[in-house]
Amino acid sequence: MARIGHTTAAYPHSTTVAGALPRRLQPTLLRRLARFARTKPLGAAAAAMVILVLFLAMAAPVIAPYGPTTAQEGFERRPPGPEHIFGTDQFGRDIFSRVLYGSRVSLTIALAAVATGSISGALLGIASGYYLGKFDLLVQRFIDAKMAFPTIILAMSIVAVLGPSTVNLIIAIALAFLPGMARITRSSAISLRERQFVDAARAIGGSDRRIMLQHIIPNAMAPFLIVATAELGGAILAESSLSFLGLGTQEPNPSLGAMLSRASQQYFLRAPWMAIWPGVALSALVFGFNVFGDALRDVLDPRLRRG
Amino acid sequence: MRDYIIRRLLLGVVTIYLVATLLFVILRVIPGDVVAALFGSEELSEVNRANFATIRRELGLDQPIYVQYGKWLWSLVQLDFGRSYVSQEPIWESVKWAIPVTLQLALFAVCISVVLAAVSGTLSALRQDTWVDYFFRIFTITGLAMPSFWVAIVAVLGGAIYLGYFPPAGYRPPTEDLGRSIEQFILPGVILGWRGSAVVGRMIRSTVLEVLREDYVRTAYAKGLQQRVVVIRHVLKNASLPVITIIGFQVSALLGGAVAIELIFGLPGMGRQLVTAITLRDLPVIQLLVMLFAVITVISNLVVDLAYGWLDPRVSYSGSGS
Repeated sequence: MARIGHTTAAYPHSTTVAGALPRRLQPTLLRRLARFARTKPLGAAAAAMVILVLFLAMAAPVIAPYGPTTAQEGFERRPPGPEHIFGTDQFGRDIFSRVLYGSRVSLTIALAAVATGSISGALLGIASGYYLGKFDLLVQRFIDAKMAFPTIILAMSIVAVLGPSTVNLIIAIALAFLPGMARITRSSAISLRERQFVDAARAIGGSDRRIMLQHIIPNAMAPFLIVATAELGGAILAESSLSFLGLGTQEPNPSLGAMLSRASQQYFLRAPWMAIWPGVALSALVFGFNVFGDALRDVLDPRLRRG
Repeated sequence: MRDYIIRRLLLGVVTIYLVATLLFVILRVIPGDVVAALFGSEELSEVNRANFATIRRELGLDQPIYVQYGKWLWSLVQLDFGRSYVSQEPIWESVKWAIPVTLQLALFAVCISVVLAAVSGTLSALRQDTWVDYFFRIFTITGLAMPSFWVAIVAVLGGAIYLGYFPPAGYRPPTEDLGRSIEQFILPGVILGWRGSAVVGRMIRSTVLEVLREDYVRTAYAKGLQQRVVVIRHVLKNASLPVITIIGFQVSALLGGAVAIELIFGLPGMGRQLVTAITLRDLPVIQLLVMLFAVITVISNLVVDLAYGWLDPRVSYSGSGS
């Protein structure tokens, strides 16, 4: 994986198995990380932020001072203070703890959805770009149709039918993000299939499946990683929007989006912290993934740069 | 050119047909049985069981899948959208009032995002690596990171509490009261547009940077034109083409974001109706609204494609254009 940066030119790794790479390339990986931090300070800061948030979310049960659903009577709508650093909500639940657990829920759903959506999208896109012809035409027209649905609307209608549960939320977001990835990997596959090393592999009798798995996929990794990282921010936003609309994670389970819905608006006058902190956390998460994704794109594949 | 338009229109029709098919698959095939989902399969009391069978028959779920599919397409072609489960009224009667609201919001948001993006992107590029550039880049990055529904909550409630400003409640169409209508849409439009402007602004910044290095820009400066003239006549004109494409994509994102915004600002648009319909599990209404959202996206992409072909003489109208 660490090699993807220069595979574009002279080093298509056509014979190595991806799993064997890390050990051999570790020194280069470290050096690359150092260079990444030097050339992209903002990106590195965002990466550090992403890692910190991932850590906080994973360690939520240890760090959080209270349980996410523990309601303390007599402590309703307390302003931020030493005992509740983000204050409490209308049921006396600690907002800091809920934000931690909520980020954990958002991250889990976003990661699972992006992994599912990206991998299936990438496989579809690669097959479509590799075979071309009628199969490609059919797949592309369906992807056109799918792209006509705004992401959130599509996810909403899927949740409407399946009902709001964590797994359904993951399915809905994954399906909504699938076509974008299919588009990107299709165009990689189209340009890769014309390359000499693919011709060579075909000449020695490699099957289509072998060519796709060992030659096309490893060389299409860079755009895949870039798009997947960029989609994480979008998936977090999608999850929080759905939860905000009452179609995602359900009360009393903590979710950053749901924390911003009705109650926080109702009590905004007397308890603005209820609406502020979940939003700040949400923005920080998305910010981290977006900026990290941009930096990753610049480093891995400057040609994809758009702004 | 005429062939190009006809081909694009045909492709648009094909896409809408596939959209209808896809929606049919999502709403009817994937879950197995909508009615079970509608009622919640566990709580089937005796009364519900009777309803269950009736609704299944009404929806035609007892018929084979290809018959259902044919009926679904036929009803769309006839523009017959059926009745709401909840109000028993023809759906179109309530939905038709929501369409202009959402369109007006989307139009406002697109215009605001383009203006914001043009200003921020161009200034950013002209003053590359100065504080102006950093300011606008932070402006766009934060715009992308903050969920618009949160910005809307903070803006509406913060504005009401600290500035004593309330956006007018109760929707009036612009034909009735233009000033009021504009006032009502300006804040939601700005919030949605900010987000859109982030993507477009970044695009404008990088294309302007590219164009600034072109020979014809140097020539324009060399013949003594003022910067303002060079920027407007040479740079922006050439930088606008890729931007138009991305605006097409923005419409879809805007419509998605509009759902929460309509809810927060109390605008009776399609998004708000969709949320209500989903809460009430009113399937025919959900179907029609989602279909409309997709059709609006397809049409706006079509318009963008046509505008692109019209603006850029280099686009070839023959061959298999992508």
